[in-house]
Amino acid sequence: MLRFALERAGQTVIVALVVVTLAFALIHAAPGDPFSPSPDDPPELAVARERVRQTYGLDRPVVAQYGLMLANFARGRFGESFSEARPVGEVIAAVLPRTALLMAPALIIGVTFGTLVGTWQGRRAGRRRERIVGVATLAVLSMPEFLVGLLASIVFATRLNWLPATGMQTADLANAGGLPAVADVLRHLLLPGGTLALAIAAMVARYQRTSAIEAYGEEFVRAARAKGVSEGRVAWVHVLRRTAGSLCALIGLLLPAMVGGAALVESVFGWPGAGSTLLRAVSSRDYPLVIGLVLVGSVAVCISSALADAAAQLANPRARVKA
Amino acid sequence: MTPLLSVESLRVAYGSPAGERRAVDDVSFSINPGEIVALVGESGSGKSSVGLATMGILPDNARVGPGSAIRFEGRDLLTLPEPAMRDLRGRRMAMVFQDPAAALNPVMRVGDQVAEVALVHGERDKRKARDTAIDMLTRVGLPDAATQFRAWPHELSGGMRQRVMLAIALLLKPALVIADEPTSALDVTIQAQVLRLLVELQREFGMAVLFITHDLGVVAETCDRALVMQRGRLVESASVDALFHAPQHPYTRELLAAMPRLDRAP
Amino acid sequence: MAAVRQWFRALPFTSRVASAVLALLALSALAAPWWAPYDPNAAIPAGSTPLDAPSAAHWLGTDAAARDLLSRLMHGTRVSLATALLAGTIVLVVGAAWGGIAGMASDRVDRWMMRFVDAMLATPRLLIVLAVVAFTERLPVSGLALLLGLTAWPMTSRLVRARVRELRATDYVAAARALGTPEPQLLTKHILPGALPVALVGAVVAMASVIPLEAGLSFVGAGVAPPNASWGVLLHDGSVRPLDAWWLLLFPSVAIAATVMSVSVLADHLQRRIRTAA
Repeated sequence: MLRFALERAGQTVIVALVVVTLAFALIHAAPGDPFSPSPDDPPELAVARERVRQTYGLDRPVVAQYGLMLANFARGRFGESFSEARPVGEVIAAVLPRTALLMAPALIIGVTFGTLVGTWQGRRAGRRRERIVGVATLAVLSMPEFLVGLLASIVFATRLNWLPATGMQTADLANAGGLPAVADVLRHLLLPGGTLALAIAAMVARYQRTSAIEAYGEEFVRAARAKGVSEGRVAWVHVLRRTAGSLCALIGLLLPAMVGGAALVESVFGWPGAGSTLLRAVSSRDYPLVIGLVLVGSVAVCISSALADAAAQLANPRARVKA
Repeated sequence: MTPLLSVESLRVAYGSPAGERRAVDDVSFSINPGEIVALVGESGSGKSSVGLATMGILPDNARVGPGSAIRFEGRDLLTLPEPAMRDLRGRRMAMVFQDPAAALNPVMRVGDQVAEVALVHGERDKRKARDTAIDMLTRVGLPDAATQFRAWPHELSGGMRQRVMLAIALLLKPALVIADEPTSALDVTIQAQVLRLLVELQREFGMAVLFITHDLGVVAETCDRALVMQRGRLVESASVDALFHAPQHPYTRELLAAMPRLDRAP
Repeated sequence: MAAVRQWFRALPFTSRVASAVLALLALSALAAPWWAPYDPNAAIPAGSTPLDAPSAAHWLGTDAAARDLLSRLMHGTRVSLATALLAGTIVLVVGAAWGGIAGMASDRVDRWMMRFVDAMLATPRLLIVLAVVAFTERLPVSGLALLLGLTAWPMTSRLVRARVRELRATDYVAAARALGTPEPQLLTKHILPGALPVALVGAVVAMASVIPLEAGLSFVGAGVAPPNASWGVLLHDGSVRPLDAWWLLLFPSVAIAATVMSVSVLADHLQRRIRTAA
């Protein structure tokens, strides 16, 4: 277990270094100087650019720059955002929790639902109803998440007007605070969160189906039935436990892939999280913010993925070290 | 005496994209309470299918019949509804599988898998189930059963795993135990140990045993009667003495001749 | 031609549908410059109106700038499929090379090569792509495809490496080696052909993931730039007035969903074929 933790910590470091190096290369390879002030900058922007030049040490020799970048990034100092005139670190600290608020329930619900469907599919593999479910899963998977979100928004917000189309909260309710404010946020959470949950569920179901088919083919299932264990218990105690390990590993692989989809869904729904902020930063050429978000996002995903893999290891009794 | 198990005209066929394959073709026999009966045959003879059909756990692509019946304690198992069958499985009839490594759930502790038998058959008290399981594990010769209760299957040796399988099968003292090649996957020395244990337990609990095997040596040592199967059909049925000294069917004679012996040149 | 028909007949039903769908889309993509009824980027002179529902003159309707949707869709398919194919080729080449080398190399080299792969797999692709896009002024479509391909090859390299290791350990290869076959020949005659199918499946699966990624990027304006069409751009156009001009959203959506589904079905089929052949 310790070895695993060390390996994963090392991997996070590698990822961080690669991203920093990439940022470094981009800053210098990009046409023109991304951080040089231009004559039609408003005064705050010019100040921001100058401050960023300092943080990135752009007036220093190249090697020193790299070192300075590493040192500053490690301390969370990414300079000032061009578009928001405040430290990038502050922006990230504000938007990251909102993304977590969106992703956490989506993950929990999506994984749960996907596991249930996938395991059910494993039992009834090949039969007509299962095949229909399989086609439905594939159809959902084949649509980009943002498109699913778009369609959901059109149906439930625009057409039926049941749920809000964009944003995280409505101004007056947010100001009022208390329970109505919380309920308001939840209302806004439903569409984007539901979209992500559906996408995650489809992905999980597809893989869990294969895992479950394999598990159902193993001899211990037959032996359990011979003991008088009911099909329900076979599915939800024996098979589920058997597939738990690969499920965790799947989630570990899924998280990096989900980030892309989540960012676009945030954009479609105007959810003010890290994803939509990044997209806005890209289009407004807010370089410090882009770099900051990309680095923090990569590291965050790396860590979450490592946690999922750690769970996968724990699920396999052979991998556990005896006390 | 009324037989405990009476198999009548059993036919089992497996369906596949290439067509149906008949595995058991009109097999009939009966087992009396407390008898140890061997079901002998080479691989592909259909002997395992007889066991699976009796337990009602044939794979989905298997078809039983027509005209078959399996009477156990007075009821035809082939017409019993599933909940009734589930009640019998593990409680009145049990199965011991060939490969204990595969037959145990690798991510469930050994003791839990033994206690599960009691829990699915009505035991509400988890602690009682646990105690019964530990007692049984001790009885089958597992050293330090209380600690081994929490062991994982991969931590046990092949012989110990098979003892666990026996504990599972015998926990509720069934009337019939179907042992499908229970020692084939074990090392030779362990085979002897497990066999001895099986015979001991049979003598103590008095259950009937259907011993499915391809190993005639084992048959000679442990069984009262033997049934010989060849390609789905029952070709001979006799007491073990009669079988070994006066085999009737040419196939039986072939099987006997093929047995390695130390006192004769091959 | 006869060989193609024979191969087609041997496929199971779903794969047949999938291949037909892809063939149709590929055909319309290839033929777009010559067969598209109108110029996809220019408004049609006299007689056509913006936001026209599908009609005889415009089979799929027109958009807000009076451009014919069918033509735009055909050209957009061209762009999106070309991007996917280019990215897929990069995935195949780089993934097979990296995985092949790692599989044949010493344990130490292999471990470090795979550590790099794991690190890449743990990094969200979109973030890397967005970072590059942010710093480059106008990324041409080929550049975008290159970028997408370069971020998608790690999974394929893992598959190839595993297969190469498997093949190295077979009795078959050991026997050939015992007969005195030189290493390079072992590689080209025995191991490479065995690893190629897996690499191909990896590339196909990668293509299935590149298509939605490109669409998403183009949708937010970070990918293919308007007025050029790609599925993402068309989806963006369709998202503006979805209830009134429903055709603008429907047809690109169907195109992208059908493509990804078909590619996935074919990838599954290929994978099953490989497994049974092994």
